[in-house]
Amino acid sequence: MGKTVAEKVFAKKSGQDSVKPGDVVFASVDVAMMHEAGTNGIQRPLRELGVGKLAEKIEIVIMLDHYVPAPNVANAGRHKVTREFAKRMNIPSWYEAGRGGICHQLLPEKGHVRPGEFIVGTDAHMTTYGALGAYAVGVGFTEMAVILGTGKMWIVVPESVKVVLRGQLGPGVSEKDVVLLLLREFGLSRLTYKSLEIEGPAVSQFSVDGRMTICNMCSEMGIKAVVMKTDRQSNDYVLERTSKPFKEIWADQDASYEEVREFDVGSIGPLVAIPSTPDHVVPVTEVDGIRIDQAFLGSCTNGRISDLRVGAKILKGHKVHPDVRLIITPASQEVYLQALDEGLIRQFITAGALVTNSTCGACIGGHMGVLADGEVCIASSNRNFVGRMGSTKSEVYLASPATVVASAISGQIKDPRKVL
Amino acid sequence: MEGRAWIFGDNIDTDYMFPARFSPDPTPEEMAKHVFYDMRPEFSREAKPGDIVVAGHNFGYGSYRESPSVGLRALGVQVIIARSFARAFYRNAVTMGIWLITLGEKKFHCEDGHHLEVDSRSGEIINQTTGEQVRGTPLSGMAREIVEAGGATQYFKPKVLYPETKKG
Repeated sequence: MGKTVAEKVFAKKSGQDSVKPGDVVFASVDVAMMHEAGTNGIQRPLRELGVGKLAEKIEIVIMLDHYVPAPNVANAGRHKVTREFAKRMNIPSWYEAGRGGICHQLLPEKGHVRPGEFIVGTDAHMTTYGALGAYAVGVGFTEMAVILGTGKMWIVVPESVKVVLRGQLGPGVSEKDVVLLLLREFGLSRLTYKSLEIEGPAVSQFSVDGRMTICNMCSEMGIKAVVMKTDRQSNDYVLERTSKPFKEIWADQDASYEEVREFDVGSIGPLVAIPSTPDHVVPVTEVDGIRIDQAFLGSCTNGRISDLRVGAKILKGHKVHPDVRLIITPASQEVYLQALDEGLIRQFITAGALVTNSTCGACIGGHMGVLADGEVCIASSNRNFVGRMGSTKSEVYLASPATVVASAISGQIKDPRKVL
Repeated sequence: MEGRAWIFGDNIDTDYMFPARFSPDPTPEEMAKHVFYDMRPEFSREAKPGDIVVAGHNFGYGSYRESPSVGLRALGVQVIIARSFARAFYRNAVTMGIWLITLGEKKFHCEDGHHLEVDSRSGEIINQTTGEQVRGTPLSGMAREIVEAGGATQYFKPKVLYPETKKG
């Protein structure tokens, strides 16, 4: 009987020949990621566990990303705790403000993500790294402290679900629309605890940035992890950034899945998740014309160079609507620099957009573009819960970079195909 | 254990349970003050140790931060009953030593303020106010061992690779 990716990864990481769904294993962790919330959060549990030295086989990566630079004294204090910990523990991969970015762009960009490895982090969107063939799960703070102290994570081997993607993306349609389709079909909880595998002929047309978009937002379906089938394109991305050897893990042809679903990515137009959950997905044509106050192009979902290029392409020859602020937040300082080199930043600013430093920013409603009572935002991020981006009386629509920027120009939610 | 039931619906997300702007609070006691802060402000003021949270499907969906679980434990909530739990919340609650009972689609009517008697190990729940009884699915395996030990810190302390050495 063939094995799924989850069964193979957890057998390998727990040193067993074979495991099956439901088995409890202790899996060795290859990479552990903490941003400032995570680094602060592990301090008390590390003390309570009596941890002296951290497990040395784990590659630890620490950065500031959620609120950068510190917008208030409380966050400045958390940054201080984070940098002091990174220095005290001699963490080589410590990314200070100005030299890093959002965790889920930083880790792939700096070569910390390799196929076949088991990555943990104090954040839900760890699923992003499945785009490069790594198996990545999010954990809470105390769990992270246990992992850093013991070197392992206890895992119940999950059941697997397979998604096969076929077809060609139509004009104005992108990888963000593909994941919105999956959210519409599966909802927030049908895939709870499942290990999701994505493959199919459509994958090779997606850029690596786009694959990260899909894997990133899959987390909203409650999955344990997602892995996308690797290929020459994804491996080249990794090889350009690290010389550490890796071994890809993919499922056997005859592996057993709880469910297998096929989707034709050519069958969808641009999609939008309406307030206030990410699975309330409708075609953009159904919300065309809704007035907006803010548009946000950024986040770990869609703040990469491919996303900024699409934004610039749509903006060309247009200006941001007088009643709208378009906030553009590159996912890392490296992405920012690349956008600068390509002339995109000048295009954004001359069109009337506001370009910020790299940070989670507006996505989490704490700074860099908070919404007032009664305001409406269309965002390229992954969550639109009540109060997510500011006031509990504001509303957030989630969409692709093309739809976000087309809307920023129009002053209302707009089908990007009308602007292209 | 026995306690007053606090009822919540489906898809209660972690922002509902604990507004992001307070996270992470410096201490569990501080976190206790902010549980359900925006949506049910009376909860953190009035909840007593032993009170029981009863919820619908996909309880705890959203962020992976553990402040909701830390806050609930600090308030003295020992057991949470839900039709189903979201993945991250389930692990964080178990990590905090909170017993969880999953109801699935089983028939059980409970209102805010009802008095419940719960056997966390068998999953047996008696609504003392109405007389109704139901058996939910209790924790098993590794999750159960961790909660029996009082939480992940207690369970994994002996397995720490390099414990702090006391200078003598």
